[in-house]
Amino acid sequence: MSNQKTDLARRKFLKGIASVAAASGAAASTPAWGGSTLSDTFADFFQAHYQRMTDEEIQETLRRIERKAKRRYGVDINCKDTPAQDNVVFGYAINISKCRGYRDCVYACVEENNLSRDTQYIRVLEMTDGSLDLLHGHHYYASDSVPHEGHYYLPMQCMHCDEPPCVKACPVEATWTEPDGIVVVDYDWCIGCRYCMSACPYQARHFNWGTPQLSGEQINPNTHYLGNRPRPKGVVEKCHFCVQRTRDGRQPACQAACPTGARIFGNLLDPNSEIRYVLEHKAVFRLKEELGTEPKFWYFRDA
Amino acid sequence: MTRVIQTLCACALMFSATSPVAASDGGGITDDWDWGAIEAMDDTPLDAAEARSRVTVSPPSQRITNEESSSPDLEATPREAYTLFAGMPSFRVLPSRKDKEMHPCTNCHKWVPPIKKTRALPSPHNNFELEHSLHGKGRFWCFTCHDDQPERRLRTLEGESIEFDDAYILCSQCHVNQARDWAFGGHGKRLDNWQGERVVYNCTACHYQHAPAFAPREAMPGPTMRQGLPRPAHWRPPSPADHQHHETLWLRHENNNGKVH
Repeated sequence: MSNQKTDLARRKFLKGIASVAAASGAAASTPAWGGSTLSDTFADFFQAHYQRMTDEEIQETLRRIERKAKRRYGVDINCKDTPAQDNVVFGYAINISKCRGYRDCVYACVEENNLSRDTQYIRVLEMTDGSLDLLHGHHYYASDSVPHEGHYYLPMQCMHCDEPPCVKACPVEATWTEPDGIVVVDYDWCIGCRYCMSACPYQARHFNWGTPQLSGEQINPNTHYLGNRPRPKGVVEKCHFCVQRTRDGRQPACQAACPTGARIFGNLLDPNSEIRYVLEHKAVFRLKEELGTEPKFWYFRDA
Repeated sequence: MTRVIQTLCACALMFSATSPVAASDGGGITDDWDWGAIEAMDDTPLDAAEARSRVTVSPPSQRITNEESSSPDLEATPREAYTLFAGMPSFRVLPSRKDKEMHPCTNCHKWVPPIKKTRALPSPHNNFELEHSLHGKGRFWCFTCHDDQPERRLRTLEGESIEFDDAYILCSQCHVNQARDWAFGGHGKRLDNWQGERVVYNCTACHYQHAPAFAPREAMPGPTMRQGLPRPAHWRPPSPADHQHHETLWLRHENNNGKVH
């Protein structure tokens, strides 16, 4: 029995070597090296920081991510690297008069962003009328029939601060602000120290304690390197304004799923955009504004 | 634009409960409405029971549901929006679905001329619930918004006939603030994109026109709880079924590759 195992392991090892020698990292190589190929494993190990990679290296990395997803989930994903558009800075606003606590946004986000099914980027807090005490906001309110009398609902997610404390806390610069204002994470550069999680005043960052649990048919094949590509175990992740959708001009999944129209998203630099109309004509506020993090995420009420 | 101003004017006059003659002067209403019946309504707000007595209420099982009556037709060509407000951006509005079987009025009133007197609807209309009447404090009934000629669809307070797909004109007569927000993007829902052409849902896509307030609904289950935390009695773990795509009107266009036709 043990001999058989050793034989198998040796065969796997030799196969890996052979595949490197034969194909030198071509996509057709046989999976043998821990479910990967030796060449891909080496390339993963020596992969540089996203901002330091050349265009060629990025393309190689994207193809490798697609190969890994094919091996792990058996699906063909498309991993892209759409850059930020010029003269675009994203902003978000939520109408707390309209939000009724359905949590549709939460589940749209989970499905769109290939989240492990025990992780959620959006937290919908049930708040007592007249109070803005986040400490007493309730995550686990009953889902029987919402909204509940005497309560309002306050969805929270990454605020994409202009002065993000999480970015300052990261010791390896695995997280940064993109030119369009989205705070992103390079999951392959993250060392999982979770300093950013304790630095974030909005509890917007989430840690993969285990390998994300989702099946192949749950995978959304439209992925982005800085967004919803399949994540490894032991890295921090967070809302990225659905970078795989918004950089193509589409709405984030949470906004598209909201049945009440409470969510407004758009370009802060465009004076005719909906978000600018809201900021200029409604009484907006931001959470924990006194911390000086300058979140690009506003809340407002009707009238 | 002139038409809208006239309409708003008519609306304001009607709401200030002036005499029908004044309304007629302001808005040019010259038809044979039973103004006596409307004038007979006093201006004091009705309590719920009294308002309901004016329009008979149906049991919930017979209610016309929101989804069936007013979901938009995502395959149809969106219509150019009328300019309701100065300086509003141009955009297009999704038409509603063409199958109006859930509104059986025309089954009879194709042949039977309707009685236009404002009254509590007798049988066979009495299964029809008009919660807008609560909203409008009993002032609204069928011919506030509908034309008596079935093919002419809707009509403004001014008396102008409009298509069902332009229902936002009708709503904006009274809900001016909401209409302004909707036109500029602070109210309502835009279809799929933040960039490029703006296509929005009509008022009636989200608000069922005869009972416009949103009814309470079941929410999706709450987040997974960490081990060791006390669990509320109502808590249940999310099931795989919660992650199945629901065929809502928001997702239908996504199944269509995000294309707006």
